[in-house]
Amino acid sequence: MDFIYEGGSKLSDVLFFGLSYEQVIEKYKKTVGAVCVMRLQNWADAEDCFQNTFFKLFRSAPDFNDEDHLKAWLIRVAINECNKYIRKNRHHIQIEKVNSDSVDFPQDSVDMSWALMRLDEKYREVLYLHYCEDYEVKEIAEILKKSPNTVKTILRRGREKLKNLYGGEDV
Amino acid sequence: MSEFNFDKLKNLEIPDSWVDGALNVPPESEKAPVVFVNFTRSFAAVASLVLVCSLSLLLFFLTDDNATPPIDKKVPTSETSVTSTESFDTNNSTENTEKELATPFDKVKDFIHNLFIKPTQKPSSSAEKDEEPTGSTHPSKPSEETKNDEENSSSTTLPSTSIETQSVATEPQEPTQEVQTQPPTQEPTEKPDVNPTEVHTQPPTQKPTQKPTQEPTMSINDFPDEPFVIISSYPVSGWNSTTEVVYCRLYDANGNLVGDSDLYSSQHLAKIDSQDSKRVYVSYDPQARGLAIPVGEYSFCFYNLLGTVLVQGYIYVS
Repeated sequence: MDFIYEGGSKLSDVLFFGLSYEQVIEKYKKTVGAVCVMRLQNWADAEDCFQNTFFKLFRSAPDFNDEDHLKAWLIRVAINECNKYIRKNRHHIQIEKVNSDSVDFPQDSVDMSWALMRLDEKYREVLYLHYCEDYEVKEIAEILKKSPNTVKTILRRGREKLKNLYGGEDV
Repeated sequence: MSEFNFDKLKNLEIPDSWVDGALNVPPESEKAPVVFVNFTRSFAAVASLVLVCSLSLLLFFLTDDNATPPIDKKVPTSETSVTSTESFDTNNSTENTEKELATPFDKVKDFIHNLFIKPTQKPSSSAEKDEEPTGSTHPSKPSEETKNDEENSSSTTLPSTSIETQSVATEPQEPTQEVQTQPPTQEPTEKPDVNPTEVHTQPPTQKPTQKPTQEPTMSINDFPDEPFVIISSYPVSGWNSTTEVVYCRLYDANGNLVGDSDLYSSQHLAKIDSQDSKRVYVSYDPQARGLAIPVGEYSFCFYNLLGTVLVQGYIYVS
């Protein structure tokens, strides 16, 4: 499927460090999607932020050093898009906390995704990036624009809260 | 790093619609050009308007003659200051007050007042005369006189019959007014006209020379203890002069003429005492003309050979 972008250029012609736009989407859709879902906990909202993230990639077309740089860029943009969406629809999110599009992972003794979703957003981000994307503290600090010490602290506290949740205690 | 298992989140199934939506990149909306309105001209216009308004207000308040005192309403009277050999003290306060109030502007006020307000015959205040040096034969109420004179002057332009009518018409009204012992009002240097409320019987005094005005007469029981002289003045105009013969007639409270019915007889002959560039000072001594004036209120009228009323007013003989 060959999409034509306005201006006549094909999406396949747009390259991001050797990868076309379509290829970048296919490769990092789960990462970007998971970040949006983890951040917003709502499918519909996550879809919008998911698409906006890639739209921004296509429009800005930054120069990346490598694919890791591209991945980090996508995650950071996805988080920013989610934060922007939250700020814009703050009251809606607070009122309509429970709806059909809310993301809810079933409790599992093995998988801790459900517990992660119950943590505060700052713990979720750090824990996800650390445990799901295998980012180091330093990398997480660069992505989230935080100091490494802050990331360490959040990571430690997040673990404790997660263990408490997993252990049956309310966070 | 596998302390926790987040496989479900890590391997989240992304719907194909998401991918299709991401692939369908919408065209970037054109940003509306920001119109930078040039407010310079508007500011300049508003600033100039404000400046002009402020300057106008400033000039207005600086040049506004707010200090101009209002024109006092003179009591229209043409009272003649009745002089006597004695000085009066009853109306001195009033006279003094009026004197104190007299300012150059008061003269203008008196002038304007005489122009527009018909003089009502009021007893002249003898106090004005009292205050002035006795023996003066000049009128002591410049304000009143001026007022009356002005009216008389205006009346002099009318036919004599009308003037006579006017004087006659006004004169009966005069006795109804209280004797004015007010100081002279129409003198150029005199204070405003007298209050018509004062009623004092004052001995006839000679009006001071500097106060030609109509002043009330003295008070006498039945007849004045001392002879009195009616002194008045009127403004100089083209139709009168120092050589002009002046007459004076008196009417009592009932409107009856005192003295000879011939208005041009010697009994009514008055005297021109003096004249300056502005006024002619006349006097009338009824006793000297053989008239006995009992106590009471009278109206007087100075007139010339043509019957033109020169000045008129009220006196109270007490």
